[in-house]
Amino acid sequence: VDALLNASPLLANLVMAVFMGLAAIVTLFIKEDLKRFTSDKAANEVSVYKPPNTLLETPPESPLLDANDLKQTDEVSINKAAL
Amino acid sequence: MEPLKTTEEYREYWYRWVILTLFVVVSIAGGFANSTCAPITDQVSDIYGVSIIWVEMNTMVYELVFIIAIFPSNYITDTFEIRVSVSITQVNSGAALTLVGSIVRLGAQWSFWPVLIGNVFVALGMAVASGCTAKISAFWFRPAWVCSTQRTNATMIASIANGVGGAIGLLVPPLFVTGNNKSQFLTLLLFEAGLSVVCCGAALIFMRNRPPTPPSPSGAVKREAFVPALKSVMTNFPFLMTLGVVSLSLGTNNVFNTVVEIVIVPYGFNSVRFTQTDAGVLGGVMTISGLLGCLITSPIVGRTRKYKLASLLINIFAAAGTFIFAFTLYVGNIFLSSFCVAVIGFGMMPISAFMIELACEVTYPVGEAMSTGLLNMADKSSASSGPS
Repeated sequence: VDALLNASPLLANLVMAVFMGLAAIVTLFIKEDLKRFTSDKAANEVSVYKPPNTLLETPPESPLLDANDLKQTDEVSINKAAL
Repeated sequence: MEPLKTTEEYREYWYRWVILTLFVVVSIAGGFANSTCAPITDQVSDIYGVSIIWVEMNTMVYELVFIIAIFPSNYITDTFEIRVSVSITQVNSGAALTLVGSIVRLGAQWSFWPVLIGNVFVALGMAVASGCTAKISAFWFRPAWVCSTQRTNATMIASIANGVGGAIGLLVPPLFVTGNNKSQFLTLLLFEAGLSVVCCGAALIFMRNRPPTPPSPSGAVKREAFVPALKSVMTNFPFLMTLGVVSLSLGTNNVFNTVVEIVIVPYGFNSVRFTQTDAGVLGGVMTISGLLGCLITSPIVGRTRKYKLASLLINIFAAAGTFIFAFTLYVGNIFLSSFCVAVIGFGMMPISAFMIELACEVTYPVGEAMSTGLLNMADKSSASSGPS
Protein backbone atom coordinates (compact mmCIF):
# COMPACT_ATOMS: atom_id res chain seq x y z
CA VAL A 1 0.00 0.00 0.00
CA ASP A 2 2.89 2.33 0.78
CA ALA A 3 4.26 1.81 -2.71
CA LEU A 4 0.86 2.43 -4.28
CA LEU A 5 0.28 5.55 -2.24
CA ASN A 6 3.61 6.94 -3.30
CA ALA A 7 2.83 6.20 -6.95
CA SER A 8 -0.71 7.54 -6.94
CA PRO A 9 -3.21 7.92 -4.09
CA LEU A 10 -6.00 7.61 -6.63
CA LEU A 11 -4.65 4.31 -7.91
CA ALA A 12 -4.36 3.05 -4.32
CA ASN A 13 -8.01 3.91 -3.83
CA LEU A 14 -9.03 2.04 -6.98
CA VAL A 15 -7.03 -1.01 -5.90
CA MET A 16 -8.92 -0.98 -2.59
CA ALA A 17 -12.20 -0.92 -4.53
CA VAL A 18 -11.03 -3.96 -6.49
CA PHE A 19 -10.24 -5.83 -3.25
CA MET A 20 -13.72 -5.11 -1.93
CA GLY A 21 -15.18 -6.32 -5.20
CA LEU A 22 -13.15 -9.51 -4.82
CA ALA A 23 -14.62 -9.91 -1.34
CA ALA A 24 -18.09 -9.80 -2.92
CA ILE A 25 -17.06 -12.52 -5.41
CA VAL A 26 -15.59 -14.72 -2.68
CA THR A 27 -18.85 -14.33 -0.73
CA LEU A 28 -20.62 -16.18 -3.54
CA PHE A 29 -18.59 -19.31 -2.71
CA ILE A 30 -19.74 -19.42 0.92
CA LYS A 31 -22.17 -22.22 1.59
CA GLU A 32 -24.57 -20.90 4.20
CA ASP A 33 -24.73 -24.05 6.29
CA LEU A 34 -26.27 -22.86 9.57
CA LYS A 35 -25.39 -25.91 11.66
CA ARG A 36 -25.77 -24.26 15.05
CA PHE A 37 -29.11 -22.73 14.20
CA THR A 38 -30.43 -25.99 12.72
CA SER A 39 -29.29 -27.90 15.77
CA ASP A 40 -30.92 -25.41 18.11
CA LYS A 41 -34.15 -25.41 16.19
CA ALA A 42 -34.36 -29.19 15.99
CA ALA A 43 -33.63 -29.63 19.69
CA ASN A 44 -36.13 -26.94 20.56
CA GLU A 45 -38.90 -28.56 18.52
CA VAL A 46 -38.29 -31.91 20.18
CA SER A 47 -38.20 -30.50 23.70
CA VAL A 48 -41.13 -28.11 23.38
CA TYR A 49 -43.62 -29.28 20.80
CA LYS A 50 -43.57 -33.06 21.03
CA PRO A 51 -46.09 -34.51 23.48
CA PRO A 52 -44.80 -36.77 26.26
CA ASN A 53 -44.87 -40.57 26.12
CA THR A 54 -44.06 -40.81 22.45
CA LEU A 55 -41.28 -42.78 20.80
CA LEU A 56 -39.13 -39.63 20.80
CA GLU A 57 -38.97 -39.71 24.56
CA THR A 58 -35.93 -41.50 25.90
CA PRO A 59 -36.96 -45.07 26.88
CA PRO A 60 -36.20 -46.24 30.41
CA GLU A 61 -32.78 -47.83 30.62
CA SER A 62 -32.68 -51.55 31.25
CA PRO A 63 -29.55 -53.69 31.31
CA LEU A 64 -31.53 -56.69 30.13
CA LEU A 65 -33.50 -55.16 27.29
CA ASP A 66 -32.39 -52.99 24.37
CA ALA A 67 -33.94 -51.75 21.14
CA ASN A 68 -33.02 -54.94 19.23
CA ASP A 69 -34.69 -57.08 21.89
CA LEU A 70 -37.86 -55.05 21.55
CA LYS A 71 -37.81 -55.44 17.79
CA GLN A 72 -37.28 -59.18 18.01
CA THR A 73 -40.08 -59.51 20.57
CA ASP A 74 -42.44 -57.66 18.24
CA GLU A 75 -41.50 -59.84 15.30
CA VAL A 76 -42.04 -63.00 17.36
CA SER A 77 -45.45 -61.85 18.48
CA ILE A 78 -46.43 -61.07 14.89
CA ASN A 79 -45.29 -64.49 13.76
CA LYS A 80 -47.26 -66.09 16.55
CA ALA A 81 -50.34 -64.17 15.50
CA ALA A 82 -49.85 -65.30 11.92
CA LEU A 83 -49.61 -68.90 13.03
CA MET B 1 -21.39 -33.18 20.54
CA GLU B 2 -21.97 -33.98 24.16
CA PRO B 3 -24.30 -31.92 26.31
CA LEU B 4 -22.80 -30.61 29.51
CA LYS B 5 -25.94 -31.56 31.38
CA THR B 6 -29.25 -33.07 30.49
CA THR B 7 -31.82 -30.34 30.72
CA GLU B 8 -34.76 -29.23 28.66
CA GLU B 9 -35.01 -25.88 30.34
CA TYR B 10 -33.57 -23.14 28.20
CA ARG B 11 -33.86 -19.62 29.46
CA GLU B 12 -32.19 -16.25 29.44
CA TYR B 13 -31.18 -14.34 32.54
CA TRP B 14 -31.27 -10.57 32.98
CA TYR B 15 -27.65 -10.84 34.14
CA ARG B 16 -26.66 -11.42 30.50
CA TRP B 17 -26.80 -7.66 29.99
CA VAL B 18 -24.38 -7.15 32.88
CA ILE B 19 -22.01 -9.70 31.31
CA LEU B 20 -22.24 -8.01 27.91
CA THR B 21 -21.76 -4.55 29.43
CA LEU B 22 -18.68 -5.71 31.33
CA PHE B 23 -17.17 -7.17 28.17
CA VAL B 24 -17.93 -3.97 26.27
CA VAL B 25 -16.32 -1.68 28.86
CA VAL B 26 -13.20 -3.89 29.00
CA SER B 27 -12.97 -3.78 25.18
CA ILE B 28 -13.48 -0.01 25.12
CA ALA B 29 -10.82 0.49 27.81
CA GLY B 30 -8.40 -1.69 25.81
CA GLY B 31 -9.11 0.02 22.49
CA PHE B 32 -8.78 3.43 24.13
CA ALA B 33 -5.43 2.52 25.72
CA ASN B 34 -4.01 1.10 22.48
CA SER B 35 -4.83 4.23 20.46
CA THR B 36 -3.59 6.69 23.06
CA CYS B 37 -0.34 7.70 21.39
CA ALA B 38 -1.66 7.71 17.80
CA PRO B 39 -3.06 11.26 17.71
CA ILE B 40 -0.22 12.76 19.82
CA THR B 41 2.74 10.98 18.23
CA ASP B 42 4.79 14.15 17.66
CA GLN B 43 4.25 15.45 21.18
CA VAL B 44 5.23 12.13 22.83
CA SER B 45 8.28 11.89 20.57
CA ASP B 46 9.38 15.39 21.63
CA ILE B 47 8.65 14.87 25.34
CA TYR B 48 10.83 11.76 25.63
CA GLY B 49 13.24 12.41 22.78
CA VAL B 50 12.53 9.08 21.12
CA SER B 51 12.08 8.32 17.45
CA ILE B 52 8.56 8.64 16.00
CA ILE B 53 8.67 5.00 14.93
CA TRP B 54 8.89 3.92 18.60
CA VAL B 55 5.87 6.04 19.46
CA GLU B 56 3.96 4.57 16.52
CA MET B 57 4.93 1.12 17.80
CA ASN B 58 2.46 1.72 20.65
CA THR B 59 -0.36 1.36 18.15
CA MET B 60 1.30 -1.18 15.85
CA VAL B 61 2.13 -3.48 18.75
CA TYR B 62 -1.59 -4.12 19.11
CA GLU B 63 -1.81 -5.81 15.73
CA LEU B 64 1.50 -7.63 16.12
CA VAL B 65 0.75 -9.00 19.59
CA PHE B 66 -2.78 -9.87 18.53
CA ILE B 67 -1.57 -12.01 15.63
CA ILE B 68 1.06 -13.76 17.77
CA ALA B 69 -1.07 -14.26 20.88
CA ILE B 70 -4.36 -15.38 19.40
CA PHE B 71 -3.42 -19.05 19.00
CA PRO B 72 -1.80 -19.59 22.42
CA SER B 73 -4.64 -17.78 24.18
CA ASN B 74 -7.24 -19.84 22.32
CA TYR B 75 -5.34 -23.03 23.11
CA ILE B 76 -5.20 -22.26 26.81
CA THR B 77 -8.81 -21.21 27.13
CA ASP B 78 -10.20 -24.01 24.98
CA THR B 79 -8.13 -26.61 26.82
CA PHE B 80 -9.33 -25.35 30.19
CA GLU B 81 -12.89 -25.09 28.98
CA ILE B 82 -13.10 -28.81 28.36
CA ARG B 83 -13.16 -29.32 32.10
CA VAL B 84 -14.41 -26.20 33.76
CA SER B 85 -16.25 -24.20 31.10
CA VAL B 86 -14.49 -20.94 31.77
CA SER B 87 -15.51 -18.57 29.02
CA ILE B 88 -15.57 -15.85 31.61
CA THR B 89 -12.03 -16.54 32.74
CA GLN B 90 -11.01 -15.45 29.27
CA VAL B 91 -12.61 -12.04 29.79
CA ASN B 92 -11.18 -11.83 33.29
CA SER B 93 -7.67 -12.63 32.03
CA GLY B 94 -8.07 -9.97 29.34
CA ALA B 95 -9.32 -7.47 31.92
CA ALA B 96 -6.46 -8.27 34.30
CA LEU B 97 -3.83 -7.85 31.57
CA THR B 98 -5.40 -4.56 30.44
CA LEU B 99 -5.42 -3.35 34.02
CA VAL B 100 -1.76 -4.32 34.56
CA GLY B 101 -0.79 -2.66 31.28
CA SER B 102 -2.53 0.60 32.19
CA ILE B 103 -0.74 0.69 35.54
CA VAL B 104 2.67 -0.18 34.04
CA ARG B 105 2.27 2.77 31.68
CA LEU B 106 2.33 5.12 34.66
CA GLY B 107 6.09 4.50 34.67
CA ALA B 108 6.09 7.17 31.95
CA GLN B 109 6.97 9.50 34.77
CA TRP B 110 10.56 8.25 34.46
CA SER B 111 10.88 6.92 30.91
CA PHE B 112 9.04 6.28 27.63
CA TRP B 113 9.59 2.52 27.65
CA PRO B 114 7.03 1.61 30.36
CA VAL B 115 4.40 3.06 28.00
CA LEU B 116 5.39 0.62 25.29
CA ILE B 117 5.67 -2.34 27.69
CA GLY B 118 2.31 -1.45 29.21
CA ASN B 119 0.74 -1.36 25.75
CA VAL B 120 2.08 -4.87 25.08
CA PHE B 121 0.14 -6.04 28.16
CA VAL B 122 -2.98 -4.21 27.01
CA ALA B 123 -2.68 -5.72 23.51
CA LEU B 124 -2.25 -9.16 25.04
CA GLY B 125 -5.34 -8.57 27.14
CA MET B 126 -7.37 -7.61 24.09
CA ALA B 127 -6.13 -10.65 22.15
CA VAL B 128 -7.23 -12.92 25.00
CA ALA B 129 -10.60 -11.23 25.52
CA SER B 130 -11.48 -10.92 21.83
CA GLY B 131 -12.24 -14.63 21.59
CA CYS B 132 -15.27 -14.05 23.80
CA THR B 133 -17.03 -11.82 21.25
CA ALA B 134 -19.25 -14.64 20.03
CA LYS B 135 -18.82 -16.83 23.08
CA ILE B 136 -20.78 -14.55 25.39
CA SER B 137 -23.64 -14.27 22.92
CA ALA B 138 -23.70 -18.06 22.44
CA PHE B 139 -23.64 -18.88 26.15
CA TRP B 140 -25.97 -16.15 27.40
CA PHE B 141 -28.29 -15.10 24.55
CA ARG B 142 -31.02 -16.93 22.66
CA PRO B 143 -30.84 -17.54 18.93
CA ALA B 144 -33.50 -16.37 16.50
CA TRP B 145 -35.81 -19.37 16.73
CA VAL B 146 -37.61 -17.80 19.66
CA CYS B 147 -38.32 -14.65 17.66
CA SER B 148 -35.35 -12.98 19.30
CA THR B 149 -32.46 -11.34 17.51
CA GLN B 150 -30.58 -10.77 20.72
CA ARG B 151 -27.76 -13.19 19.92
CA THR B 152 -26.81 -11.36 16.73
CA ASN B 153 -27.29 -8.02 18.45
CA ALA B 154 -25.05 -9.12 21.32
CA THR B 155 -22.33 -10.22 18.91
CA MET B 156 -22.72 -6.90 17.10
CA ILE B 157 -22.35 -4.85 20.27
CA ALA B 158 -19.38 -6.91 21.46
CA SER B 159 -17.60 -6.77 18.10
CA ILE B 160 -17.75 -2.98 17.68
CA ALA B 161 -16.78 -2.15 21.28
CA ASN B 162 -13.04 -2.32 20.69
CA GLY B 163 -13.33 -0.11 17.59
CA VAL B 164 -15.38 2.42 19.54
CA GLY B 165 -12.67 2.41 22.20
CA GLY B 166 -10.10 3.03 19.46
CA ALA B 167 -12.14 5.95 18.12
CA ILE B 168 -12.36 7.45 21.63
CA GLY B 169 -8.60 6.95 21.88
CA LEU B 170 -8.14 9.12 18.81
CA LEU B 171 -10.42 11.89 20.05
CA VAL B 172 -9.57 12.25 23.74
CA PRO B 173 -5.73 12.43 23.97
CA PRO B 174 -5.45 15.72 22.01
CA LEU B 175 -7.81 17.27 24.59
CA PHE B 176 -5.34 16.42 27.37
CA VAL B 177 -2.02 16.93 25.57
CA THR B 178 -2.01 20.33 23.91
CA GLY B 179 1.76 20.83 23.76
CA ASN B 180 5.06 19.17 24.55
CA ASN B 181 4.14 18.97 28.20
CA LYS B 182 5.06 15.85 30.15
CA SER B 183 2.66 16.52 33.01
CA GLN B 184 -0.25 16.67 30.55
CA PHE B 185 0.74 13.31 29.13
CA LEU B 186 1.04 11.83 32.62
CA THR B 187 -2.41 13.20 33.48
CA LEU B 188 -3.78 11.46 30.40
CA LEU B 189 -2.18 8.15 31.39
CA LEU B 190 -3.46 8.54 34.94
CA PHE B 191 -6.97 9.19 33.62
CA GLU B 192 -6.79 6.06 31.48
CA ALA B 193 -5.40 3.98 34.33
CA GLY B 194 -8.31 5.14 36.51
CA LEU B 195 -10.73 4.20 33.74
CA SER B 196 -9.12 0.76 33.45
CA VAL B 197 -9.29 0.23 37.22
CA VAL B 198 -13.04 0.94 37.14
CA CYS B 199 -13.85 -1.05 33.96
CA CYS B 200 -11.53 -4.01 34.39
CA GLY B 201 -11.97 -4.09 38.16
CA ALA B 202 -15.75 -4.33 37.66
CA ALA B 203 -15.23 -7.17 35.19
CA LEU B 204 -12.98 -9.03 37.61
CA ILE B 205 -15.59 -8.74 40.37
CA PHE B 206 -18.92 -9.09 38.59
CA MET B 207 -18.17 -11.45 35.68
CA ARG B 208 -19.94 -14.75 36.07
CA ASN B 209 -19.43 -18.17 34.61
CA ARG B 210 -22.07 -19.67 32.33
CA PRO B 211 -25.69 -19.17 33.40
CA PRO B 212 -27.30 -21.88 35.58
CA THR B 213 -29.24 -23.15 32.56
CA PRO B 214 -28.24 -22.50 28.95
CA PRO B 215 -30.23 -20.13 26.70
CA SER B 216 -30.43 -22.73 23.93
CA PRO B 217 -29.43 -26.34 23.22
CA SER B 218 -26.22 -25.22 21.50
CA GLY B 219 -25.31 -23.25 24.61
CA ALA B 220 -25.19 -26.54 26.51
CA VAL B 221 -23.06 -28.44 24.01
CA LYS B 222 -19.44 -29.11 24.90
CA ARG B 223 -17.17 -27.62 22.25
CA GLU B 224 -14.36 -29.48 20.48
CA ALA B 225 -10.84 -29.48 21.91
CA PHE B 226 -8.25 -27.11 20.42
CA VAL B 227 -6.33 -29.37 18.01
CA PRO B 228 -9.35 -31.22 16.52
CA ALA B 229 -11.13 -27.87 16.30
CA LEU B 230 -8.21 -26.33 14.42
CA LYS B 231 -8.12 -29.25 12.00
CA SER B 232 -11.86 -29.02 11.58
CA VAL B 233 -11.93 -25.32 10.72
CA MET B 234 -8.93 -25.56 8.42
CA THR B 235 -10.72 -28.15 6.31
CA ASN B 236 -14.06 -26.36 6.43
CA PHE B 237 -14.55 -24.76 3.01
CA PRO B 238 -17.34 -22.33 3.97
CA PHE B 239 -15.23 -21.13 6.90
CA LEU B 240 -12.16 -20.64 4.69
CA MET B 241 -14.27 -18.59 2.30
CA THR B 242 -15.56 -16.52 5.23
CA LEU B 243 -11.95 -16.00 6.27
CA GLY B 244 -11.18 -14.81 2.73
CA VAL B 245 -14.05 -12.32 2.78
CA VAL B 246 -12.92 -10.91 6.14
CA SER B 247 -9.31 -10.57 4.95
CA LEU B 248 -10.33 -8.81 1.77
CA SER B 249 -13.14 -6.56 2.92
CA LEU B 250 -12.33 -5.71 6.53
CA GLY B 251 -8.59 -5.62 5.89
CA THR B 252 -9.10 -3.26 2.96
CA ASN B 253 -11.51 -1.16 4.99
CA ASN B 254 -8.95 -0.82 7.78
CA VAL B 255 -6.37 0.32 5.25
CA PHE B 256 -8.90 2.75 3.74
CA ASN B 257 -9.54 4.28 7.17
CA THR B 258 -5.81 4.71 7.68
CA VAL B 259 -4.97 6.24 4.32
CA VAL B 260 -8.05 8.37 3.70
CA GLU B 261 -6.17 11.50 4.76
CA ILE B 262 -3.19 10.73 2.52
CA VAL B 263 -5.55 9.98 -0.35
CA ILE B 264 -7.71 13.10 -0.19
CA VAL B 265 -5.28 15.89 0.76
CA PRO B 266 -3.63 16.24 -2.70
CA TYR B 267 -7.04 16.72 -4.32
CA GLY B 268 -9.64 19.44 -4.35
CA PHE B 269 -11.65 21.77 -6.55
CA ASN B 270 -9.59 24.46 -8.29
CA SER B 271 -7.55 26.12 -5.55
CA VAL B 272 -9.74 24.78 -2.73
CA ARG B 273 -8.04 21.62 -1.57
CA PHE B 274 -9.12 19.03 0.93
CA THR B 275 -7.59 19.51 4.36
CA GLN B 276 -6.87 17.33 7.39
CA THR B 277 -10.09 18.68 8.90
CA ASP B 278 -11.98 17.24 5.93
CA ALA B 279 -10.29 13.90 6.60
CA GLY B 280 -11.56 14.13 10.18
CA VAL B 281 -15.07 14.89 8.90
CA LEU B 282 -14.94 11.85 6.61
CA GLY B 283 -13.78 9.66 9.51
CA GLY B 284 -16.62 10.94 11.68
CA VAL B 285 -19.19 10.37 8.91
CA MET B 286 -17.89 6.83 8.47
CA THR B 287 -18.20 6.06 12.18
CA ILE B 288 -21.70 7.53 12.52
CA SER B 289 -23.01 5.78 9.40
CA GLY B 290 -21.39 2.56 10.65
CA LEU B 291 -23.22 2.78 13.97
CA LEU B 292 -26.44 3.53 12.06
CA GLY B 293 -25.74 0.48 9.88
CA CYS B 294 -25.39 -1.68 12.98
CA LEU B 295 -28.69 -0.41 14.39
CA ILE B 296 -30.58 -1.02 11.14
CA THR B 297 -29.04 -4.20 9.74
CA SER B 298 -28.44 -6.22 12.91
CA PRO B 299 -32.13 -6.92 13.72
CA ILE B 300 -32.87 -7.69 10.05
CA VAL B 301 -30.00 -10.12 9.54
CA GLY B 302 -30.49 -11.57 13.03
CA ARG B 303 -34.09 -12.44 12.18
CA THR B 304 -33.61 -13.59 8.59
CA ARG B 305 -30.13 -15.16 9.07
CA LYS B 306 -29.19 -14.08 5.52
CA TYR B 307 -25.53 -13.59 6.38
CA LYS B 308 -24.33 -14.39 2.88
CA LEU B 309 -26.73 -12.00 1.19
CA ALA B 310 -25.83 -9.28 3.68
CA SER B 311 -22.12 -9.78 3.06
CA LEU B 312 -22.63 -9.76 -0.70
CA LEU B 313 -24.65 -6.53 -0.71
CA ILE B 314 -22.33 -4.81 1.76
CA ASN B 315 -19.23 -5.66 -0.27
CA ILE B 316 -20.82 -4.63 -3.57
CA PHE B 317 -21.90 -1.27 -2.13
CA ALA B 318 -18.52 -0.79 -0.42
CA ALA B 319 -16.66 -1.54 -3.65
CA ALA B 320 -18.92 0.86 -5.57
CA GLY B 321 -18.54 3.47 -2.83
CA THR B 322 -14.74 3.20 -2.83
CA PHE B 323 -14.61 3.32 -6.63
CA ILE B 324 -16.86 6.39 -6.92
CA PHE B 325 -15.09 8.04 -3.97
CA ALA B 326 -11.86 8.09 -5.99
CA PHE B 327 -13.52 10.21 -8.67
CA THR B 328 -15.38 12.51 -6.28
CA LEU B 329 -11.95 13.73 -5.19
CA TYR B 330 -11.64 15.54 -8.53
CA VAL B 331 -14.95 17.30 -7.92
CA GLY B 332 -13.69 18.52 -4.56
CA ASN B 333 -17.12 18.39 -2.94
CA ILE B 334 -16.94 17.24 0.67
CA PHE B 335 -20.65 16.28 0.71
CA LEU B 336 -20.30 13.99 -2.29
CA SER B 337 -17.20 12.36 -0.84
CA SER B 338 -18.94 12.06 2.54
CA PHE B 339 -21.85 10.26 0.93
CA CYS B 340 -19.53 7.64 -0.57
CA VAL B 341 -17.72 7.20 2.74
CA ALA B 342 -21.08 6.89 4.51
CA VAL B 343 -22.06 4.05 2.15
CA ILE B 344 -18.79 2.25 2.90
CA GLY B 345 -19.08 2.75 6.67
CA PHE B 346 -22.75 1.74 6.78
CA GLY B 347 -21.92 -1.83 5.84
CA MET B 348 -18.34 -2.25 6.98
CA MET B 349 -19.00 -1.80 10.70
CA PRO B 350 -21.75 -4.46 11.00
CA ILE B 351 -20.17 -6.94 8.56
CA SER B 352 -17.64 -8.00 11.18
CA ALA B 353 -20.40 -9.27 13.48
CA PHE B 354 -22.21 -11.01 10.61
CA MET B 355 -19.05 -12.83 9.56
CA ILE B 356 -18.34 -13.88 13.15
CA GLU B 357 -21.87 -15.27 13.50
CA LEU B 358 -21.65 -17.03 10.13
CA ALA B 359 -18.28 -18.54 11.05
CA CYS B 360 -19.73 -19.85 14.33
CA GLU B 361 -22.66 -21.36 12.41
CA VAL B 362 -20.65 -23.15 9.73
CA THR B 363 -18.00 -24.47 12.13
CA TYR B 364 -20.35 -25.64 14.91
CA PRO B 365 -19.59 -27.47 17.27
CA VAL B 366 -16.13 -25.91 17.12
CA GLY B 367 -15.75 -23.37 19.93
CA GLU B 368 -16.67 -19.78 19.15
CA ALA B 369 -13.26 -18.55 20.35
CA MET B 370 -11.48 -20.55 17.63
CA SER B 371 -13.48 -19.22 14.68
CA THR B 372 -13.66 -15.66 16.06
CA GLY B 373 -9.94 -15.67 16.83
CA LEU B 374 -9.01 -16.77 13.33
CA LEU B 375 -11.27 -14.15 11.77
CA ASN B 376 -9.77 -11.44 13.97
CA MET B 377 -6.29 -12.64 13.08
CA ALA B 378 -7.07 -12.48 9.36
CA ASP B 379 -8.51 -9.00 9.79
CA LYS B 380 -5.46 -7.74 11.69
CA SER B 381 -2.99 -9.43 9.30
CA SER B 382 -4.62 -7.75 6.31
CA ALA B 383 -4.68 -4.40 8.08
CA SER B 384 -0.95 -4.78 8.84
CA SER B 385 -0.26 -4.67 5.10
CA GLY B 386 -1.33 -1.03 5.20
CA PRO B 387 1.07 1.89 5.33
CA SER B 388 3.35 2.22 8.31
